[in-house]
Amino acid sequence: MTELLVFEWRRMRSLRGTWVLLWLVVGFALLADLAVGLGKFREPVDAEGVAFHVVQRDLIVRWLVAAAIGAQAFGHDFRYGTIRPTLLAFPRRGQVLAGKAVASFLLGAAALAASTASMALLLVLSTWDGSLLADPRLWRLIALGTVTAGLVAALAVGLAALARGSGLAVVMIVLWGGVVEPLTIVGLGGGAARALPFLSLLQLTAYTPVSQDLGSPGPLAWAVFPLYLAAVLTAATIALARQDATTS
Amino acid sequence: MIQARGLTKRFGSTLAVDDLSFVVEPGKVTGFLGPNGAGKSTTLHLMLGLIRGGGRTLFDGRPYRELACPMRVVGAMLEARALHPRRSARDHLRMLAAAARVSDRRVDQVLDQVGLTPVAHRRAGGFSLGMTQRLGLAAALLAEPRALLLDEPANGLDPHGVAWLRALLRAQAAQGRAVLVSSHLLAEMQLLADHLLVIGRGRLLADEPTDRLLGRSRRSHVLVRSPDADRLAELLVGQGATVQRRGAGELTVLGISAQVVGELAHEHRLRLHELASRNASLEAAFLELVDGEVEYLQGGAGRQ
Repeated sequence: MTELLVFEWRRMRSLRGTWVLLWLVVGFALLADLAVGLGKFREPVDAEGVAFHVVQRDLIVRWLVAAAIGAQAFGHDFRYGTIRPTLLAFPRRGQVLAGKAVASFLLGAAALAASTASMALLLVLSTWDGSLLADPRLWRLIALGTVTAGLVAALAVGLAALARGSGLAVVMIVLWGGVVEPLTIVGLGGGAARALPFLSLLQLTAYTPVSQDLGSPGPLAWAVFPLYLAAVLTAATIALARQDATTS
Repeated sequence: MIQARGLTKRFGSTLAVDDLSFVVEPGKVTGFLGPNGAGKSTTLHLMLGLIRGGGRTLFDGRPYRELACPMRVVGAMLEARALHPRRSARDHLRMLAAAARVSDRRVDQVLDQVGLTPVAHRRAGGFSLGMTQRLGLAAALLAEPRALLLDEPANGLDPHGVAWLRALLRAQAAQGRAVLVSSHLLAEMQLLADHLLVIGRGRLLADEPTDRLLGRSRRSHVLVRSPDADRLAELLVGQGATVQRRGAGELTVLGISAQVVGELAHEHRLRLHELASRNASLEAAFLELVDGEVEYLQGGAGRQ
């Protein structure tokens, strides 16, 4: 697995697109800070405000970037035919999928951690109040937010393997998280969020259960997204094993 | 050693590879020939498990999928263009080096070996076909594997490049590696290959040493010049040979070796002024072999 992770790291870091995505997520966070916070930096901010600012405000954008990072893992391979060199280097297809999922999880999480750190730094620099970051609950949310970005990136890996391309994988995530789940909530009520993967992640990263009008997370909220992820990765493993290594 | 047994691949109703079995010996360059659409590339993909199908291929006794570090056992170049156009040549090889567990120093060595050091940091998308082929070869050679599987490696190479490739592959075979090369450059294969596998419509048509395949061709003949040509011709026909008269005292003999002609002449005390074997070109031998096995032919004569 170590060789596969080094392989994936070298694959990702040698492409400009990866760095563009990483800078995009940090740049977006900072620009949003400037746009939203201009003139308000010196206003008092409570712990919940800090959590919203640092973790939740741009979470959807950061998930999107994580999804793009994950989708590229297979998208590029199918688009440029590099799936063949990849499978020649690592002929066990399940192992390739696992390696790409883990590598994308780490990079997606790193992207979120980088943007969170830049936003937190900007907040502290603008308020000169380091105690804002002293709340242990905030650090728990930062950790959870980081994990959620990694999970979304790993989901995108599975979807890209199924779709044999990165564009469709990202579109599927956008449609699922941005259209299907909100419509489900409208139809079935806020309680349904407990069973929906993206909304359950949002619940987990909320400072208080009522902070996002999504209701409180269920006792198994932490397992909802991983269950969906496991299903997608299992389907992707089966699809990869049954298909010929051709380009999309 | 590479052992392929019962390789079979079907695309819908088309049988692309039909129960192919062969062995690629170490220390030899084995040419893999066939007309367009004969199933050469499909066979190579099957051998490496890149496409699903019947049969199995063993590399040093184990299927590719079960090799602990496959790049150290088999170096493959299937499609040289299978690389990200925005990745540099060196980065492409460094990525593969991680899988092969080889150092960056080896990456630089192999770049030097294929002559790409000056463009190592350039994006592969800007490479000519010849440069891309060299990069593909570098990837195949990277982990110093015990066998090489190369699909049309001479494509896009200039004459110097083709000569370089020939020397490289012969050197690899001389070091004890099993080298399997598919190509449609028949003149080049005649110079390069010790052994030939010829397929047509997915079936094995020939599996024999290059010399023997050339000798078997209808266009291979023995040229004889003798003042006793008439008598010799009668004797040769009696031995089952086909004899054509080309001029005064000159015969073209088919279906019998120069050695037999010489012994016959000696036995009957007939004088010989010239006795020479004229082997057919690989092209001629190949065309005889694949006659009727061509998938795509001008004028709609082939199977479409």
